[in-house]
Amino acid sequence: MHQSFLQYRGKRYLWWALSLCFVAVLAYAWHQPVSPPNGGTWLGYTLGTIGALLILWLTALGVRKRSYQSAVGTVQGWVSAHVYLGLALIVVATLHTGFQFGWNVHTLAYVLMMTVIVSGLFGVVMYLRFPERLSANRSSQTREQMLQEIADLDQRALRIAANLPAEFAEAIASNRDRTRIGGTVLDILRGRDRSQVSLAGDDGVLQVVPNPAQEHMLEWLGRQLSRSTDAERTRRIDELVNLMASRRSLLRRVIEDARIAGWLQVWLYVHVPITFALLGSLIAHVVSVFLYW
Amino acid sequence: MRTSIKFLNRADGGAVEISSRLHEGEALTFGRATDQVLHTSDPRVPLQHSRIVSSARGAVLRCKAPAQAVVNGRTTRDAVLAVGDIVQLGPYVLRVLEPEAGVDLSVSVEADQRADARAAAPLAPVLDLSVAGLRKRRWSWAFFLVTLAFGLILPWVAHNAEGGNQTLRSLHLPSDRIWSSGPLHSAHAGLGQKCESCHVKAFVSVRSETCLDCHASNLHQHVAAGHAQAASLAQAKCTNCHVEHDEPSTLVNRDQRVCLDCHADPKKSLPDSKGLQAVADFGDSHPEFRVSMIDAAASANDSVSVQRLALDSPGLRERSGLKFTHAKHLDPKGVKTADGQKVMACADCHVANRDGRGFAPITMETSCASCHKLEFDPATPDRKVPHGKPAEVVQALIDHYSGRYLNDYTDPHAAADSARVVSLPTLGASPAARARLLGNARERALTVAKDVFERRMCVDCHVVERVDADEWRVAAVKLTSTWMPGAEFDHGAHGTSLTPCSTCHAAEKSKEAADVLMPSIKVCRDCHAGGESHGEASGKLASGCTTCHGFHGAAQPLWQQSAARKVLKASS
Repeated sequence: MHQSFLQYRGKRYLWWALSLCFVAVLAYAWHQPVSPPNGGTWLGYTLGTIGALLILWLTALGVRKRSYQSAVGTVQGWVSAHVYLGLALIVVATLHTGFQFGWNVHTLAYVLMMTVIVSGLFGVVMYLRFPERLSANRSSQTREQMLQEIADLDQRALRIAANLPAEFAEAIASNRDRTRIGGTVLDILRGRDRSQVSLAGDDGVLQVVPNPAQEHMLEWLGRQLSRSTDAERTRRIDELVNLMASRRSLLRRVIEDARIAGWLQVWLYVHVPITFALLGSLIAHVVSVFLYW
Repeated sequence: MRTSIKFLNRADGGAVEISSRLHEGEALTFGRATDQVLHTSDPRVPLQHSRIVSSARGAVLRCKAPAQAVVNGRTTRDAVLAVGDIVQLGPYVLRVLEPEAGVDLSVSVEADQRADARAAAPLAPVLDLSVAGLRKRRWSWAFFLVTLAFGLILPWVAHNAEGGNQTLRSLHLPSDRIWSSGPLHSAHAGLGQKCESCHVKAFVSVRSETCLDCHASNLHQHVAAGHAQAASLAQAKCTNCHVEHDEPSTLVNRDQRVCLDCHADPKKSLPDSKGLQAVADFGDSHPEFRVSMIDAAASANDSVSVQRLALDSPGLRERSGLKFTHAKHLDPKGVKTADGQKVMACADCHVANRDGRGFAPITMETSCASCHKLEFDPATPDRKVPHGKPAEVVQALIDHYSGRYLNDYTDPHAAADSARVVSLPTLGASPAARARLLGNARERALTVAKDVFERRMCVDCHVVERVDADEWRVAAVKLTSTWMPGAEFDHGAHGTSLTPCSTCHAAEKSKEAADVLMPSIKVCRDCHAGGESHGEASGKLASGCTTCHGFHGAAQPLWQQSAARKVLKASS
């Protein structure tokens, strides 16, 4: 039975995180330092130490998930704790600041930390929404299999087109060669289909036209079909229409697959590098505080 | 449905090997999953590709979307199968045969031999973010090194080099300024952004000596040099109370807990200090005020001894040597003056200092003389005895009357005694006549002196004692003028139309000069509550220790101009 990492062991780490927040808030409310609340009171140092250790442990998820032989908890348990304790860090670190912010390396570390947490939260939302859609769209095929099937369709279409006038083979071949999906990060995430096709016009002149979702290809075949008077020819064109329609739905699934997979990954490209920026600024924060004590 | 399946295996030479199988089940299934009847490992085929089931129209092929089959050369998803039909199912070619006896469907299955049935080269579009140009690892290291370098290493290296951070600032690069956790108080704006002015040594917290570079080296200490706690207080750091870089900026930490560290339980924390009383909060656990009163008994004529007494000490009296009473002066009907009846106010005698916080000491000349004139003879209303030592008064009177007798003087008693008649001019008078006149003058002066000292002038205010025929003694005046020298109290801020002097000082009812009119702590508590946490609830003014007490003492300058200039010059 599949269980979400959010539900892991009856939300055990949610309760851990809530307890941590509760204790931190309670201590902050009770604590009346002689100076304005800041990171340098005993509670400030305590919260800061907890926060820094949390950050180091949260970062260690990247190591743990690669250690396949590790027996230190399950990766799912780690992810569950990572999410909940990562969110608790918002409370711990904010109380550590004593709500004092400025244009300095200390607030930089805080802002970077919040960026990491918000990007992680975005990732959680993605992981709650997309995996089901991903497998529904794949319907037990891998992306490679779908691409292979498209190639097979093209091959079969070419074989059929061999028995039709030359412009058919040309159209099918150009449709295959000018298929442009994916490409840049934005194209992948937006699911853009920048395919083109080179089609013979009524005057016999070849023209390259955009062909998103095989639109022009199918339209051109339909036009050829309506003009066909020969039964055998009609049957062949009809078969091409079938193949291209299949090609369209396969292409759509491939694009959608890449789009969903992209959204499932893209937040990590913020989450991970900014985590390392955070580690750098965290070291600067801790050392500088004692350097200019 | 009973199905007979013949698997054809064509060898290279053309020989066909046939293996038959009989399948009985709901459907003849095809796919990549292992539970399929016709199973293939071809990756292009879905787990469940299609199934052939029996229906009223005969055997029917149903492909599971999006899978498709090619039936007699036509791509389709559903088809009714007839004998002779050729179905391409992925890598297989399936032929529908004439059913044998006892089966519903008979098929042959063989691998598709056509060249194009083999896998074509698949499309290879860029669909992966990492291929599309995103690199986690490279960016991670870059960001880590950038934040570490600019946030720590560069300013640190610059800190160790002479003027390094100033160079960084001039190049608009991050300097040690980015380590500042908050703004400096405006009082320290003169330090500019020179962190090293206070942060002299790395990893060593700001030292008091650094503060004293600018702040007076003779900064008033909390206790006198010989005090039992002087040594331990010398260890106290400026930063215990003066912390910078916080918001809101509090140059002076006024939290009373800082004071209470020592003063809450002085018996325990300050065992060597005598006379210190425990205090926890002004509102409910502050001892009664103690006044510093001149101890008249212990004071010599030319020096004063001060004793500190609580206002609630039994029999607290001020032995000032004066006989003045406040009630008489503040009689609402007024007092008799040369200009008639006058109702007096406090300010007639008590003159505020220039800063308005306190009052000038009471003296005869400034506070009393305008009414209590020292004229002694109605005949010479412009002549006064000096307000000084008794002998000076006697001498001044003798001098005065001698002059008068030797000059043109009409003795008021002349009519009764012919010997007193003076004939003018006296300059030419015989020595005997002059001696007689001077004797008369002295006798007259002593009569007036007795009158002045004992009946109508000095004795009004002073305790006077006659020690000889021509000698009087006036008790020394030991009038206390600063009752609470350790407290910071601003009369200017307290005396308003709503709070006249009588709010705190019960002067109207004071019928004796010895009454001590300093208000008890209870009077203050009418308006002042205790420390910050107690004030708001009671609707009173929150008042911590530093509301009245200063750690360093009010009179001491915290800032020495010359020292400041020296330091600023050195650091600029």
